[in-house]
Amino acid sequence: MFSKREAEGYLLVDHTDSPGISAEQAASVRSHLVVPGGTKLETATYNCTNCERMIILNPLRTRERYYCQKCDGYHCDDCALITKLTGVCKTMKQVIEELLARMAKAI
Amino acid sequence: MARRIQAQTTLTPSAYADTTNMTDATYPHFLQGGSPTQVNKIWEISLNGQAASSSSPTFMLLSRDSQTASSANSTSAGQTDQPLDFATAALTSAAQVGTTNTASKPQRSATGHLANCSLNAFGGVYFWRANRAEECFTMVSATAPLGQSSLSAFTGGTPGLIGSHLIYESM
Repeated sequence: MFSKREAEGYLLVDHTDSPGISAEQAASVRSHLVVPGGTKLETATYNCTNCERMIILNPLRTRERYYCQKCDGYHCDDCALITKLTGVCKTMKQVIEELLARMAKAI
Repeated sequence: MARRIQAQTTLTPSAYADTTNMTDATYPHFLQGGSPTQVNKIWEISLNGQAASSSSPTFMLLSRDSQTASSANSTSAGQTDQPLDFATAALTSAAQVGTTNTASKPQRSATGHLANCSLNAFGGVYFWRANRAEECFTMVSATAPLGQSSLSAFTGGTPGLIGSHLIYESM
């Protein structure tokens, strides 16, 4: 049986032997990827079906992740808000197919 | 369909703000479609810190580009672009890769950031791999906003020496 977890990507940030990136350093560039010195982050990722941004799964997250029944995929928080407000889910796959169709008609 | 690996032996990236011209050989990679209908997928990104002596927080970003590189695009010293399988046939319109461009330079899009690839270049390792084609980053065409992506350092931190590779597949 197919599980959505089979589609997850794999991310490793290894600062075991490095000063790493502290919360302050990450915050200075508005980054949430905090991996301090002496630690290693090994986690699953998925890409938002709409914008394709990489989502690093935070095991401590308590808010529900937005699952879209229209595209059968997960959205990032930004695209989830747009989908909730407009009811429109336009996946990157659709965008690419439309672009290629326009190109084909133009040839 | 052929997967290729774009590798950079060693490079100290320069930090750039969004929508700023990136100078030749100061960022690890760009990837641009080889034709108006070509689709490229990024399967894997690896960055390995090579800084020798001091902490070097290096805030790397994979991002779509709002300005594409143009004219003669080429790899820089220490950079290669090879098929993963030696039996791969050459494409009629190969994807454009490298870090050197004779005309317009890549500019990172302010709204198209795809992945935060930050690491400390003093001993740090960053590695990401997609598990299925649906989870890859996809480029289409050879023009902005979807035709080109680049891996470059964002402003802030102290970018240090890194080696890197990026595996992509031209469809």
